[in-house]
Amino acid sequence: MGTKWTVGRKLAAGFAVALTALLVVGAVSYRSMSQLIENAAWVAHTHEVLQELESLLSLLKDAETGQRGYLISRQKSFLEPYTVALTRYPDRFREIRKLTSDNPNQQRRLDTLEPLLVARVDVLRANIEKQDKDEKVTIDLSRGKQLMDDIRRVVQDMEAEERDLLDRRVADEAESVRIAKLVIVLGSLVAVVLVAVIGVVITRGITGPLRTVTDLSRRVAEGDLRDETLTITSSDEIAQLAGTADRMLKSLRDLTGRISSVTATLGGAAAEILASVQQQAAGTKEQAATVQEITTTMEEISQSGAQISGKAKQVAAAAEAASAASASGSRAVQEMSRGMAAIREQVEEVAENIVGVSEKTQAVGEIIATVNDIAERSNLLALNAAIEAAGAGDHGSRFSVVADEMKNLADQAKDSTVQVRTILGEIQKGINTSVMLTEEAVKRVEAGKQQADVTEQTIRQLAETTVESVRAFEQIVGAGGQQQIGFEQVAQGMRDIRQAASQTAASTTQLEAAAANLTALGRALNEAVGRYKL
Amino acid sequence: MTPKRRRIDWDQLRTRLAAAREAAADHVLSPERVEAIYRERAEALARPRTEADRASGFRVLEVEVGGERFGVDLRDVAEVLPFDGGTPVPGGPSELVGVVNVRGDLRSVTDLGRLLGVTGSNILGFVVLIRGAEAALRVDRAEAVRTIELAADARPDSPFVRGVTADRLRVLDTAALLAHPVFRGPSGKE
Repeated sequence: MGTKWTVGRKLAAGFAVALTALLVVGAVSYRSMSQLIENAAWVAHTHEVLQELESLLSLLKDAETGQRGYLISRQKSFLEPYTVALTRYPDRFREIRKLTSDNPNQQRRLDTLEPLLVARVDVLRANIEKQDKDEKVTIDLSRGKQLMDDIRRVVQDMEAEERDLLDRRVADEAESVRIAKLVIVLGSLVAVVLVAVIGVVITRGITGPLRTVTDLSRRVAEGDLRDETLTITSSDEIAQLAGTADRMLKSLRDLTGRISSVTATLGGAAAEILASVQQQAAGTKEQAATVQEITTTMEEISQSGAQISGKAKQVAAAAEAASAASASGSRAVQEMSRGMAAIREQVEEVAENIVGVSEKTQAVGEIIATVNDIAERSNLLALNAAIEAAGAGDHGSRFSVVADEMKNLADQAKDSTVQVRTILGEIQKGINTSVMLTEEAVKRVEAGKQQADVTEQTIRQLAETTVESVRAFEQIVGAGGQQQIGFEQVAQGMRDIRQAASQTAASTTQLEAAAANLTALGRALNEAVGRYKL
Repeated sequence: MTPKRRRIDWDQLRTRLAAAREAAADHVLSPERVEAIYRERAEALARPRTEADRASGFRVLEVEVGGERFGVDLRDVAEVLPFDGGTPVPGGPSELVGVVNVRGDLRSVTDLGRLLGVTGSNILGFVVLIRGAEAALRVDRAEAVRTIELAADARPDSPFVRGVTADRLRVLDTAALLAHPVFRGPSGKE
């Protein structure tokens, strides 16, 4: 039996051998039994043929007897066996022909028997008809006896044939039974031996490797995971089981190693968790303190908000008043601006008048120049007159006085023109100053008007700003209310946070205990894994 | 520009304006002023000629050139005319400022300032015609005729100055002046 075969295949092969032996024995037994039954049937058949032959002869004898009785007694009642025989014998004959249809010898004999039977019956029927006509019946006994003997001989041959067949079939039957016995006994023995041998072989092929695997499993159960590769060369299910067990061992070793490292990691992580939980507990306490501070601060802010709201209402009222004041201020400034424009027009008229006066002073200046020129000429004239007077000596002394007087007048005229020119210069200076002042005034009025415009614009902006401020303060007041609501909500939130913080503290305590448990669990796991020898 | 705000008395202003208007409309001097002028003139005329005038005093034409005053003996002066610039003479001496036409006679005008070494001014000034000569002197101003007396102790600082008065008027020596080469040049007609 090959070592590459699987256990199932081995078992199947063993059962196949055993079944083959059983089949052989069974087949032989069946064949013997069939032959016995067939032989028995054939014996019965032979007996039946013999009986039918007997019956046919008997019917012929009945017909002869009836005829003989009628011939003797001339009474029709004796004819009854005859008529019965006549009606029945063809059936018998056909039966016999059918029964022996497989036997050509018997058929050939029946072919010879049939005319003999017809001839015999004709003889009987002729005798009876003669008797009926009251004719002299010359019984041809010899012919009747001849026919009858022939018939008997044929029948006897047939019977002999059948009996001979019967003997041969009995002998066959006995032979069959003997062979069947032999085959059954020998076949059974062979089957028993084969099944025993196969059983031993299969058992040995399965149990050995199974024991190796079992040993391995036992070592694993005891915690020995040291590497020991199983030496199983076959490739059946046991070998697969051994391979699987081997892999399982490796996986288990791997798993245990990983569990060991994970346990170490777990221990570290548990310690870290514990530390974190302790930090969290401290943090929670700080959080509670902070929440307390925030709550206090929020209350203070809330009070401040209420104060702000009150102040904002006051400011809003003040802003309303300022808005009204700025409206009247705006009107006043507009009137002032108009007044400024009027002043400007008048000042400009003044400037024009002054310019007219200035132009007149120019004419005056020209006149003064003329007068001055005359004075210069008069002066020169007086000078020359004095010179002439001097040239005349003592005679010219009186003229010299007149010349001096003329000279004096000319000098006075010159002085007057100088004075007038000085005054005119002062007038022109004054006019210039006035023009400049007027120009300055116009500029100032213009500036004042611009200032008034700017002021008006500023007041308008101020009014708008005031209105905006009023709105803004209204919003502030509204917002202050909302803020109060918000502060209430924040206070509620702070209370919730404080509650949550206390819950967190409780949870942290539980967490601390859980972390301690985790540490203990890691230690226990480490001990459990340490039991395995790697 | 009077930063000090002064309230204007418009009534007073109107009164002053009316007075000014009235004064301008009269076009006459006040009687007192006219009386004063008359008296002054009469006093001047009534002043008797002093002894000094007769003895050593003589009359001079007071001229001014380059800011300095000089006196020219009135007896040497023929006429004083306004100087119109004249006609320039090309190639002439620097003292010759030009030629003027005096009623048909051509006169060469010599700048007195340049003659005396006094820096002149830019104005045209006057021309003093010298009697008995063709000379004409340009001066800045011909002021007046005065009767003067030479101071005895004063030393003339220039060859052209005859003497100096007590009030530092330097009287020119007309003869010495006319002896200047400029008057005897090619154009001179001595």
